[in-house]
Amino acid sequence: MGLPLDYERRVDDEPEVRWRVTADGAFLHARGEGELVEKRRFSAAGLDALRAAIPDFAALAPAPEPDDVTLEERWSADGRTYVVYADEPPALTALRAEVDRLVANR
Amino acid sequence: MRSEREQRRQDEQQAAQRVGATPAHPFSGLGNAAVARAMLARNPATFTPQGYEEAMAKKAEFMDILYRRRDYRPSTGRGNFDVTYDAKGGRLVVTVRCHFNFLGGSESDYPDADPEELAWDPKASAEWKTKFMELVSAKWSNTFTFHCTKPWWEDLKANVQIRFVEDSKDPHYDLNITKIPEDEERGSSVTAPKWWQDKGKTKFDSEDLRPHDKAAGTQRPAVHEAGHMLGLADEYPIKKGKKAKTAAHDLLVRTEFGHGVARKRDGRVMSNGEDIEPEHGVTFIEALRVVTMMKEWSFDAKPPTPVPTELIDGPLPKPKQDPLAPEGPEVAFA
Repeated sequence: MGLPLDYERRVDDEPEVRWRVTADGAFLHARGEGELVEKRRFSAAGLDALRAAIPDFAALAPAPEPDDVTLEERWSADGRTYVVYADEPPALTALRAEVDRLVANR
Repeated sequence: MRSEREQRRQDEQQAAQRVGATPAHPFSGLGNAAVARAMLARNPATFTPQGYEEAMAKKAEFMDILYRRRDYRPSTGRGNFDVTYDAKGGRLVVTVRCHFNFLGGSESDYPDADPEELAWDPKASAEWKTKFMELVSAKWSNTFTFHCTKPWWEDLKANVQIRFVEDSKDPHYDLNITKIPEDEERGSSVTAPKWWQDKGKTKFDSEDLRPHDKAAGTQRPAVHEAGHMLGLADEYPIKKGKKAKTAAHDLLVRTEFGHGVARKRDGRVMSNGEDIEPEHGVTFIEALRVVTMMKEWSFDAKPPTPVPTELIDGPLPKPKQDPLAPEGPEVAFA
């Protein structure tokens, strides 16, 4: 899967946090309705590792939407979006860990 | 003269018998008699001295038992807790067993945070756990008292005590608490267990014990989420563009109170505030009815049923002076 990679967490249908990793390695971040602001720039090696960690969203079992949606997390890449309501697929937990690692520059 | 009076008296007695009323006389407890007669008409086998004795014997048996139910799931499709009713103590104890799992914060959520702001230290996690259990147990306890409405059992009560306790081996909920920087906010949620699952799960954060400003009030998220763990749904409006749905506890509220749950932003605990209303006790009264196998419980106290005596349907006491006597009544002068 290719970049950009987008993530958005919505609480009660309002955006809480958003970030994007662009193809040229920029990590852009915003809280609430704010504008995306560049916070990091990842290395080429980091981007390769990130690309490798992005799962095929279409292959993930879709999560059923609960009756009362409080939290939803939307992951998007290559024009495909996967929504997490309660249970995060392990592939997305691993992807988040990879992004966290790059942001923390560990 | 006497025959006219006698005739009138007989006519009055017959008229009284036709309408089923007790003839008035100065010594009878007419109020109790009327009540008892109405009850007899409704259930002639029960509202008798014998029925009273039987009810009291059953009540004594009822009170000797401690009623318990593990893993109660309210009909709302949310909530998971143990219930114990102690009739002698007048308490309904609701216990939510919690497994606490403390998670480090996400750097991608808070790229400007220092590493230590996103990591739990053992002291902080122990403190959060203790404060959470104390806060939500105290907030939800002593808010509801249910009353028995069964005739002659009206003194039975159930004061609801809520206990959130730690139990890592067999929890009702896994609590995942993410560390976030101080004064930040992050959405929280509770996912109810499906019928085939043993436990539900929650997403909390380290700031959920302090008040957060909401659109229509101030709320500690832990208090609101605890309401979900006890079986209640959100009362604020649903997502824009989605079909309007009633809250999951709407039917229970409608049954108890005759009105539904308003979906709006206000100070109610399942909306934007922390006000716990009587309607928020519906899952507990449902649990009480199930655990005691008795439906006669109410939010409101009922006046005690009069105790029947032999006097009620027995002969009228003889007046001290016969108003139809040939001579006038004796009058005492001081």
